[in-house]
Amino acid sequence: MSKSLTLNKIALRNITRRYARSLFLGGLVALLAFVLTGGSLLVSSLRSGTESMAARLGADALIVPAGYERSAEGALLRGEPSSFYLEPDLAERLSQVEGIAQVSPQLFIASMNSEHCDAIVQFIGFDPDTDFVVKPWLSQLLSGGLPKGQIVIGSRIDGKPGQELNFFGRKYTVAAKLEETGMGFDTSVFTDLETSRIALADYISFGGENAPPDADGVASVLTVNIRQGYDSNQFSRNVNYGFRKEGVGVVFPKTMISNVSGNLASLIGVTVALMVLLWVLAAGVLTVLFSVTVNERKREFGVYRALGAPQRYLSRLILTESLAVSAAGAVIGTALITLVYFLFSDLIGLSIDAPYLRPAGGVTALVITGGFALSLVIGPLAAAYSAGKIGRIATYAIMREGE
Amino acid sequence: MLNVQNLTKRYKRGDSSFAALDDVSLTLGGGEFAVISGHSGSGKSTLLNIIAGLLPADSGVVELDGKVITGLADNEISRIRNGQIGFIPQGHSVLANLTVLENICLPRWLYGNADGGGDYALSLLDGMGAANLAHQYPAQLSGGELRRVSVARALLGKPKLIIADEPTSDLDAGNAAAVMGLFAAAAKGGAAVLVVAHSEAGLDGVDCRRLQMSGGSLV
Ligand SMILES: Nc1ncnc2c1ncn2[C@@H]1O[C@H](COP(=O)(O)OP(=O)(O)OP(=O)(O)O)[C@@H](O)[C@H]1O
Ligand SMILES: [Mg+2]
Repeated sequence: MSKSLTLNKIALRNITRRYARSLFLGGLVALLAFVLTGGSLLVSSLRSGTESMAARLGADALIVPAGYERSAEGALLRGEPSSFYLEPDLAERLSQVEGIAQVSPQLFIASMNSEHCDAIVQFIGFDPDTDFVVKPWLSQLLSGGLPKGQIVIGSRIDGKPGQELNFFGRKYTVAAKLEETGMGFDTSVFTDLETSRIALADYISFGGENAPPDADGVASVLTVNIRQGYDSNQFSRNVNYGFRKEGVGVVFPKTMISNVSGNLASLIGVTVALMVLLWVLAAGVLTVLFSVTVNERKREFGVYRALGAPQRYLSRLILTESLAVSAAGAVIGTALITLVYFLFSDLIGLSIDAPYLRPAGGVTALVITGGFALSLVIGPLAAAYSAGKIGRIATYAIMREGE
Repeated sequence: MLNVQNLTKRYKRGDSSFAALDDVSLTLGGGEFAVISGHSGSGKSTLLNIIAGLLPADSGVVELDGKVITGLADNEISRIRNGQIGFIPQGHSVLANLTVLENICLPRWLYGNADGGGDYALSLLDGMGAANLAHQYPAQLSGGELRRVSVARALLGKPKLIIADEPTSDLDAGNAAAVMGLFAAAAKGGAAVLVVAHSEAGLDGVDCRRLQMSGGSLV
């Protein structure tokens, strides 16, 4: 015996019996869901990458050897390892420059190829006594501070706390592992300044590239906080003029970040504009498609009228069919992009020349839900026009001698 | 049962308008079988569609079982068409996405009646010698079989009034006679039956009242 067909079941039947049409419409929505959700995930990952970087680059200025401004940026932003040095007495004199409130030296060493090092990293030594950049976030990781001679490794480096890693022919115990930051720190190794100078001596003894003659008292950058109210341009001039002969440069991480986030803002703007355009375009195309198919099916709908279906029954039937097709497309599209996002997140991050960090789970869920919802509603919205007209069209179609 | 009084319907054609129905009156009692014929364009379909409540009249009244049904809201007239009128529109009207049995039961399901009258539907099909078609999709059926399905569907609700617009137009003599026989039987069962037929096909020896339509008037 035939089971009772409710409106929902009839809608489903109409969808499955006309699968080519349904696949096409659903595919369109799936594509939309994929792009919308993907674009939003990308935007939110870039945004959280920049925020993470701003939170971890807590110095007003970095003083570096002249010509190494870009290297310092590359090391911090993208984790491109490099080695460069300020002479010991130069570092000493630089810390006396007018306008400085806080200063702390750091030593950067690029790891060497596999023979002497377990991973390609940027080795960073910070001075526990004067540091104000690393310790604030490090203390959340290691409440007792970093034990001398041990290391903290970035999230992309293979290794666990307690394990020993080899750098420049010497073993270091991993005290902690950083969570993902989306910036250069993910491939950096942190240790105290003294230990890093031992590493530098090893580096020198192995004939490392661009090595200073002696590891004693050497630093790569001075992290600086400028005195409250002191003009940062004036500070920059103080450094540049005062040390013209020696040749030093100043990097302002905040400018760096704002450059990145400025580029990011325009990238985000373009992405969002494209997504809005795509949505409007898809809504337009779907409106036309629904209107064409409903017109093709007007005789079919007219039969329902002849059998006593009120006009609003037909409107509901059309909206239900469009919602079902839209839902299927939205589920498939969002599921696919979610899969791609989680499977290939690392790859995406690496191929993008900007801080990229997967946002917190709640934010990700919200973004995915939003992309899904925007794709879900597009079907019924696009069908609304046809659903509103169908009663009249169908009545007219059944009165004519249709085939 | 059916009482049609002074129906007038004008259509616009370009700038002018003409009367597709010109003061048409007609009464049809329960158990009566009437056949309207007439030239193409004489207004037969217009009349049937107004009686079925799909098309509004310009003036005049349609009364079904003592109740005036012209001028009702769509919801009300739709429910009456569903429950009291078995309407077979001109042309094909079997839904391609539903099986034969589902097509026949659909009018009941439209108003949430979970009992689609499946047993009765099967017995109707059986009476037409088409029980084997119950679970087929319409694409596999012949024109005569499709026509029987639409007749069975119109009969399912045991309506007071059955209206059919050229139900035999594309059938051979045998099938036409079979379909007309079904209507005659329905009339015997007490329904008022109003059928439009272009030709004499299937009417040989059928006991029915003959009406002629011409230029929007019944003559
Ligand atoms: N919506 C409309 N607008 C304008 N003219 C119409 C409309 N519907 C029908 N007509 C015209 O009204 C007249 C009557 O049409 P109707 O369909 O009632 O004729 P009919 O007798 O059923 O013809 P047929 O035997 O060909 O089915 C015809 O001249 C037709 O062209
Ligand atoms: Mg006609």
